[in-house]
Amino acid sequence: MASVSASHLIIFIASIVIAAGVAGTLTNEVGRLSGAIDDIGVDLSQDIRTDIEIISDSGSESGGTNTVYDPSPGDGDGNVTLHVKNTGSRTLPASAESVDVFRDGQFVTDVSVTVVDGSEWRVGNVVRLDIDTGDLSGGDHRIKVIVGSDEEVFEFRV
Amino acid sequence: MGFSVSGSFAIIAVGTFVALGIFFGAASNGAELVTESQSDAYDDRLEQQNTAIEITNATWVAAGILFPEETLVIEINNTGSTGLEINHTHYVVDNDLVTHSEVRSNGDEEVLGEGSDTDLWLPGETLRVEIQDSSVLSTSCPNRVKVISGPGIADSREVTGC
Repeated sequence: MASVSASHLIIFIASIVIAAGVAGTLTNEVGRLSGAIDDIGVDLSQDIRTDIEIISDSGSESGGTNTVYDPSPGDGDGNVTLHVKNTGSRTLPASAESVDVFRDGQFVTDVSVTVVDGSEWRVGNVVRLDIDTGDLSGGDHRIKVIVGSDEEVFEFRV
Repeated sequence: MGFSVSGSFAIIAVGTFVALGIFFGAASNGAELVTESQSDAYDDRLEQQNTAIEITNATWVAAGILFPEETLVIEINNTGSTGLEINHTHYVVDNDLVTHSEVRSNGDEEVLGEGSDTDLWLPGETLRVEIQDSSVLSTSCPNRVKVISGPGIADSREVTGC
């Protein structure tokens, strides 16, 4: 019964091909999922290791205004200078793109980041944030600094 | 017919095992990274809990017999239960940051009773810092000084003697 053997052979080949396709797809997709899990693990680990502290003195005043605020640095706009210490367990990127600053709830775009005591923002090192806040009205103000997943708030009086 | 079913099942089973092996490796790596960083973060928090400092003296001394130029003298006591590193200590004088290296270049920094060569500031010891005015401090006769230890625990005090 050659016709039966031929049909059996065709079905066998088809089933093997389909099984190989399923196995290959399964392996590929799980491989992609594993890569994503790896990336998530790295990101989560970095977030956990990130910790900063704003070390500027909120109680230091001159003429009733906190000395972090300079109303006239020379370019016509008010400027707030904050010092931020790396108290985590990893080196942080010292660039304006990696630090988000909010002034009284408003996102500030003009921020410069300078490492004060070294070439990198290593653990224990301090950066200076020069924040162009514009002219601040008298009264209470707050600056929120976000690096990675860590947020710190600095409140002061003008 | 029977062999094609067995063969297909075998291929799919092998593929499943390979996929599980890849998934297990990635999950295991990710969990290990996260666990390790959580452990480091826990150690940092514990160190902060054990850290305490107190500024016992912040005095502005005019130029004279003791010092050739105006000098800010700060004495800080390590009142915590963990040793600190002097290299990671920062000083904020009227919101001007003075780094450890600036103090060493423009003044003195010593653990009382142990001298200037040590970087260790152990519990119960007093760190004495002298900051000369001329090139480090932007204001003469400052109002406040804040000292920040390595883990981030800080103390502040008003300066006397102005």
